Amino acid sequence: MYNDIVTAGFIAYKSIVRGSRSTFALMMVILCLSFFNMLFIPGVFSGLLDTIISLEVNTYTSHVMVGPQQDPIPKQFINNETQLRSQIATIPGVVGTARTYLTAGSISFDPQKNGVYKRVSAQVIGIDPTESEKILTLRNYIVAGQFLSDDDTDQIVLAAALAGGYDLPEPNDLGGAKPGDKVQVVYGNGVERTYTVKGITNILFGPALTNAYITGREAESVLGASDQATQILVRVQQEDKSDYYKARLQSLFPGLHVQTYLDLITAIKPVLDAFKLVALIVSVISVLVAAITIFVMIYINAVSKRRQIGILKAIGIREDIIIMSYVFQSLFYVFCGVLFGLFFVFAVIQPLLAVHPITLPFGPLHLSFSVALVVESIAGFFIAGFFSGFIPSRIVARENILKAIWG
Amino acid sequence: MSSAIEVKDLVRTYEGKVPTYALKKATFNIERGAFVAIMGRSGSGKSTLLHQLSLLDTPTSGSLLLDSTNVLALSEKDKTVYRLEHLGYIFQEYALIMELSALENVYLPALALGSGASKYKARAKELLSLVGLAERFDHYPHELSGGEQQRVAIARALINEPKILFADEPTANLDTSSSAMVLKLFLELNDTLKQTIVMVTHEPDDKKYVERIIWLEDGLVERIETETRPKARTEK
Repeated sequence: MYNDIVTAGFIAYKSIVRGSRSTFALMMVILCLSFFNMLFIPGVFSGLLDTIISLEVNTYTSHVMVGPQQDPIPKQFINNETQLRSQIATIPGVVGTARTYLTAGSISFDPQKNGVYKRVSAQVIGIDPTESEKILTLRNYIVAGQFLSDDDTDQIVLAAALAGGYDLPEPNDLGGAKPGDKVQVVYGNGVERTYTVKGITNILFGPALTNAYITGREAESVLGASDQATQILVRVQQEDKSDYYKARLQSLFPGLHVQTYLDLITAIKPVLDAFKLVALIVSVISVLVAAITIFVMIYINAVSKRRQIGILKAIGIREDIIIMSYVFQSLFYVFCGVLFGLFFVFAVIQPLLAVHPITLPFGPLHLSFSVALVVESIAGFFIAGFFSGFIPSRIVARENILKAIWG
Repeated sequence: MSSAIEVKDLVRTYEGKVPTYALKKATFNIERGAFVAIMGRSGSGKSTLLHQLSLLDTPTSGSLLLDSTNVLALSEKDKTVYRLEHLGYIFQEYALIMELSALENVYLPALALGSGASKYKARAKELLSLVGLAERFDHYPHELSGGEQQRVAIARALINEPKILFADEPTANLDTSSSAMVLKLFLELNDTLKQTIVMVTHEPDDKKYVERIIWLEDGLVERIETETRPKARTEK
C-alpha cells in the first residue's frame, strides 16, 4: 500500500509540477471564487444575525436576564437586588450586572403647543446610567441631546420612533418631541409625572425601538420600590456560554426566573430562523456549485489525459494507483483553492468590509463566520474534490487500454 | 527449450453490425530466448495478435500461456500486475509520459513494482546508458528526437527485467540509422541477456535480425518461417 501511495504521489506530483501554469492559475481563480461563494453569502447572513442579536443584547437583554419569581405566584420585583448582584458578580466570567425597572406608561405631548396632545403607550425603563454602561450601550445610540445622569429625576430619554419626527415607519408617535420639550407620563399605577426630554435614542430595531428611559432612582420613586428590580441584567465574557451562566444562576436563585438572550429574542426568532434557512439553502447550493465546478475541471483534466492513463495502464500501473494519483491532484488543487479562498475572504474581503461596512438600519453589516461554517465549507470542498478526482479518473481508467491510447 | 508463449486457437472478433474477425484461430509456440517477428500486410492482424499476447487486449476465445501461466484466467487487475512484473511493451509511437523526464519515464515501472529508490534509479541510468542516452537523463520527451524517445521506451520496457519484450513496429517512425540502432540493440539484448523478444514489423529488412517470422494473412497464421543464420547475427 505504501508503495502504491508513493507511486500515485509521484505521478500526481509530476503532473502538477509539469502541468500548464496558466491552467493552474485559471483553476485557482475558479476554485478561489467558488470557495468565496461558499463562505460569503452564509457569512453575510451570519453577520446580519450577529448584528441583530448584538443590537438586542446591547440595548435590551444583555446576555442573561434574571427576573422576579414566576411560580407559583408571580411577583413584580426582585428583592435585595444589591445583595443578589454582589453574589452574581463573584461568578467567574461575569463582566458586570445592572438592574432595571420595567413599567408601562401613557406618554402625552403637545407638539404644536396648542393644547392638542398626542398620547402613546410605551414601556418605560428605569436604569442606573453609570452602572448600566458596562451592560447596555444605550448612550451610544443618542442622536439628539444627552443620555441620563444618575441624579436625574425629572428627565426622560425617548426612542426616536416614540418621539416622532425621524421619518421612521412607526404609526403611533408623539409627533416630534425634541430635547428640552416637556412630556407627561401617566404610569400604570396612576402616578403622574412631567419630564423634560433629555435625549433621543436612535435604536431602529427590536424591543428597544419605542422605549422610554428614566433613572432607576426616579423609577423607584414612581413605583414605591427600594433595593428592588424588575430585571437584573448580566453580561458575561463568553456569550456562547450563556446557557452555562443561566444554569449557574438558576441554581443560585432557584426562586427567580432566569433567561438567556436567546430565550428572549422570541419576537425576532422567526426572522432569525428564516435567515438561517436561507443561509443553509445558499450554503448547500454553493457546495453543489463548487462541487460541479471542481468536477468539470478535474474531469476535463482527466479526459485530456486519457492517452497518458492508457499508457500508464499499459506499462503496468494499476487502475487504483492511477485513480489515487488523480484524487491526489484534485485534493491538491482543492487545498490550494481553499488557501487562496481563505486568504481572499479573511485577508481581503472581511477587512475591507470592516473599514467600509455596508450600513443597515440596525447597524453596520460585517461578515461573520463561525468556526463550524468554515470547517464545514472546507470539508465540503475537500469531499467535492475527492469525488471530482475519483469519478472522472475512474471512468477513464476503466476504459480499454487501446481505446484510451488511440481514442 | 520450454515455451515462453503458447498460443492455441486464439480468436479476436470485433463486434459490430458485421463482426470483424481480426484474428482467426492462431496457434503457435515461441521458445524462451527467441527473437521473433510477426509480419504481414497492413490489416493482416499483426498488431491485434501482439495486443493479445501482451495482455493489452482480451481475445474472444482460445488459450494463451505466458511462461506456463494461463494469463487469460487472470483478472484485469492481475493482468496489469503481470504486465508490470513480467512483460515489457514498446509502442510504435513511443508512448512516453510527457510530464516525466527520460530517467523518470524509465524508472516509473520499477517504482510501481516497489524496488528500492537507489536501486531503480541506478538501474534506470544503466539502461539509459545502454541505449546510448547517458547524456539525456533529465531531458523531457519533447526535447528528444524520435529515435531517442524510442530508446527511452526500450529502456522503460526493460527496467523490470521482463520475461518477454513486445515491440509494435518500433522502427516505423524512425530514420534508417535510428532503426538500425534500435534493432541492433534488440539483437544484443537477445544475444547477451537471452531476452525473449516478439516484434511486429512490416519492414522486409528487419528479417535479418530475427530467428523466426510468424506470417499473418487476413488474421490467419499463414506460415512460420525460421531464419537459421540471420545475416545480421553473422555480421555482428
